[in-house]
Amino acid sequence: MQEFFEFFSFTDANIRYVTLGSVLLASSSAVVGCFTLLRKRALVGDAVAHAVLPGVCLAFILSGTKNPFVLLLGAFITGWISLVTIDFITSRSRIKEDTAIGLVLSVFFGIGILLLTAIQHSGNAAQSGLDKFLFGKAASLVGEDLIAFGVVAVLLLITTLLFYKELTLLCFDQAYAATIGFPVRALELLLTTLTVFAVVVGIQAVGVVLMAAMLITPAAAARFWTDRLGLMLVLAAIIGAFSGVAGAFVSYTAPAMPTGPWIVLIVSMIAIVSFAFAPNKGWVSRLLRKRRNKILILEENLLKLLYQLGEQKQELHTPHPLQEILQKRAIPRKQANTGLRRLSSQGYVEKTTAGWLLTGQGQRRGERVVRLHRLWELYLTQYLHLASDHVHEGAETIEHIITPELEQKLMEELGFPVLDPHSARIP
Amino acid sequence: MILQVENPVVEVHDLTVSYDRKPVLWGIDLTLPAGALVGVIGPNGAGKSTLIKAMMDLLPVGSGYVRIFDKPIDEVRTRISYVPQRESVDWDFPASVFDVVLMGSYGKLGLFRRPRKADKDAAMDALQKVGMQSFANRQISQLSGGQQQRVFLARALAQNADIYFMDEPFAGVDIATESAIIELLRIMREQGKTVIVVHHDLQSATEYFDWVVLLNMRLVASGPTEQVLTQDLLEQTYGGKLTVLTKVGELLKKQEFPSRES
Amino acid sequence: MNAFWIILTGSLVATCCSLLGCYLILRRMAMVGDAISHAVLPGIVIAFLFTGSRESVPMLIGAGLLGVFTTFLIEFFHRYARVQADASIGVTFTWLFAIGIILISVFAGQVDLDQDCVLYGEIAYVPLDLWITEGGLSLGPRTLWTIGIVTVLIILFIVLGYKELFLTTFDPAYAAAIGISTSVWYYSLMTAVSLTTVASFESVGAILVVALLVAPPATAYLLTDNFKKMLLLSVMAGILASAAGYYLAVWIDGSIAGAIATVTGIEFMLAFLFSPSRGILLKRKQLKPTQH
Repeated sequence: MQEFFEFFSFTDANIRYVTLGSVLLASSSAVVGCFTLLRKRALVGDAVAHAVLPGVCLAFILSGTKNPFVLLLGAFITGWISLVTIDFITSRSRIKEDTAIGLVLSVFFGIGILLLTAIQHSGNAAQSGLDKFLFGKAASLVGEDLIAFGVVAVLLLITTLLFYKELTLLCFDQAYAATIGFPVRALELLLTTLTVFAVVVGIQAVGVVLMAAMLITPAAAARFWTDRLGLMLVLAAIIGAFSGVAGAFVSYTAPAMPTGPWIVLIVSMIAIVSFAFAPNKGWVSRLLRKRRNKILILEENLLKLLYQLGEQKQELHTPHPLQEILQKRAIPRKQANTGLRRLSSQGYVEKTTAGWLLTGQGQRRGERVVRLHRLWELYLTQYLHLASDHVHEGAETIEHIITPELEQKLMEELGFPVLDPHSARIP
Repeated sequence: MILQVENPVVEVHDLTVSYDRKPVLWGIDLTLPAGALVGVIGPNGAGKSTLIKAMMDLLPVGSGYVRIFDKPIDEVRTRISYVPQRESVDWDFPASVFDVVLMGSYGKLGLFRRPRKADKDAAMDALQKVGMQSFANRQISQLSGGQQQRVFLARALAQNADIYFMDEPFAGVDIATESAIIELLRIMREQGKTVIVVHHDLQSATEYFDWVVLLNMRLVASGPTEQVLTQDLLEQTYGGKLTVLTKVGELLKKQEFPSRES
Repeated sequence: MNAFWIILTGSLVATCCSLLGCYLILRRMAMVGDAISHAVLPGIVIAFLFTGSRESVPMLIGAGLLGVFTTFLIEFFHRYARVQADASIGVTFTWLFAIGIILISVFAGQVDLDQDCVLYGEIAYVPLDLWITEGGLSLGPRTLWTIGIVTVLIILFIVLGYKELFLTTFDPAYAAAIGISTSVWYYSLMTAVSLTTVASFESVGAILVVALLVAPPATAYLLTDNFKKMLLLSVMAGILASAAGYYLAVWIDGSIAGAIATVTGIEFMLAFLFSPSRGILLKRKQLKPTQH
């Protein structure tokens, strides 16, 4: 706990820098990731991430230093080559994209591992710390490194904002973008470059192995909360930044722990919670919607039954006992009771000693359901040429969903009918 | 004009099929006679392919059922054959023409059994029927569109089924192939097989089929060709979507409503 | 002798991976293979914690099941939570892999696994862990037995299910129409892939398995149009890479698994450039569809 306050009071200058760095790195890759996700090229980022490893190693072998700018340049070059290679293989042979991605990813990474192990075995003292590129170590992000990667991250964010409109169009409708004279090729190149840069800075925090998560996961999570791209970018950046800070904290309190996996674990949990619980799109809210539909169907069916019972006797003011309702249609007694009680609290029915009675409001709603049912049956026989004994079941659902506007349209198309296919009156 | 037949080979009852809860086929009630060449016709997006896939139980259906030879489909699988759309497979696949045609025997062979001489003979025989016997060892990546279609047809023939479902077998093939295929279909009809063909060309439909199903999200007509291909029914089929139907479909999708109550 | 054991182990790993990889790349599921190979890690660590050994049957089964679970999870996110297909793969495997790495760090004392081993295996140590009977007879490296048994299982699976695997890979809709269950064969294949990744894990690590799953089949795919030949060529490319990779690694004193992956990449590049029928530099005959 003490460590928690120590860290989040930010009194230590080191902690301030590390936190700032993590936020910048994680949020800039999350923002770029949104665009690659929307272009359905999420996994390409994974290939680039693995492909920067040989670049880092080669840069070290050739220069003999761990100067961040040199390593960054090496990473950038092989990252770029990997993307070009994927495109080249898919366009010039019958190899499909997924195979090309898997191939480039694993082979480049293999070369990287070969070089890295060779460097480690060479006994060069300067090499220690190169392996932090594998799983990331936010806490070591100080001094020169922080400035270098921080600057790149800020530049990334600014470029994305500057080209926001163009990139958006590229993601949503590439063909249209080309017809209205957008330089589509140049924009693709820009996005590719941004992706490579995002990976190059992001691996400082999470390492090459899990970098894909920093591009894909915040974007996938943000996608569940909004349909607006601008908001999605902001949300993805916040989700990324939050996990970045959490990672820096872990890195600070438990230096033996690899930072990358913790950041990825946290961002993944946020994503999974989003998949499950995001309003509207989430899995749970869709289940809830299904439940609401069930309740709506039950209630309207009860109102309909009461109305039909009254219709038979041409008298809507006598109450009907539950038994009578259930005779007309088999609904589990418990469900029917719950539904009726809910309806009475909403003012659609009243309970009397002799049974249930529709209120004026309930009569109107019951009548509407019956009307929609019969209208739809008529529509099915007239427009879909269904036999009149086949239309009832279809109408059982549709009667609950038709809006007043559609009802009006149905009436017009059917010529304001009086009788349904079974010659029952349409109320 | 929806004609129901006695003792149908295919019986579709109250079939609703939805993609993402939005119905693409609404309440189809349909029976098809035995030994007929049936054309399924309608505009793009009318649900033609969906209908034959649903008939073979390849798609989840929202409501209704299908019976073939008066039995549930899974009991008669070996008597059913299918010619998918040509574009549905990857023609770069490393396989020879003969490999593909031999697949026709896989269903009857069952698990672990390899094709025997009789199956190979049947495959060669089928290739001969479509005029492709000299292509047996050719790689499928080297075939033209018409040849690909003939290979698919040969595979179905090698299966020696009783009912054939064909998805757009005439799409993008040359005239020679088209007439060769229709010739074969007629021979199959003579042998008492039922062939159900998804087709998009109205002109040739009159000539090819003896039974036509007109479809546009709902069944417009089903009956003998000359009675079905009338001006009035064609206008109903091609005269655009029914707006109310489309709107209700969209509402079902948006509200995630079930297409049936239970 | 050590070189022999290492190359033999590498060759068996390559055989399993190359055979299954042919099906993966033709089904456009190379990245699902990648996902499975990452996602079995937590299973391996947990199985290790419980059994305390790396070569037990529970380990193979437990971690293998997690691989199949991964494909379920990817399906679930995609179908029920409507996550975009590629994102669903990306989120699932990075998440599970991260859990695996964290488990390794947390239980560093109890688990004889380290992060390097996860990345590129310890094939160099294979000959050190010999299986010696009570009578003192050496039966060769333990790992070799594990991967050997898995290889036999994979070959049996492919021989017995040859026609079903072939058909469901080429034309799943037709397969379903004539009554061959596509999902049964899909999940069988995924089980085989999981089993192979778990068995190969300690030799070549979680990521370089992908090189052997993808590169040799892709190379073979450029060299032949016959599926049986593709399976065979792919196995040959894999075995060749194991041998050449070993000597490359010895030469530059680096990771053997990394070197094997490098060689598979070189093989692919050669096929891509010089394949007689499909190489971009050396097309002997231009094969055009004949008009009919």
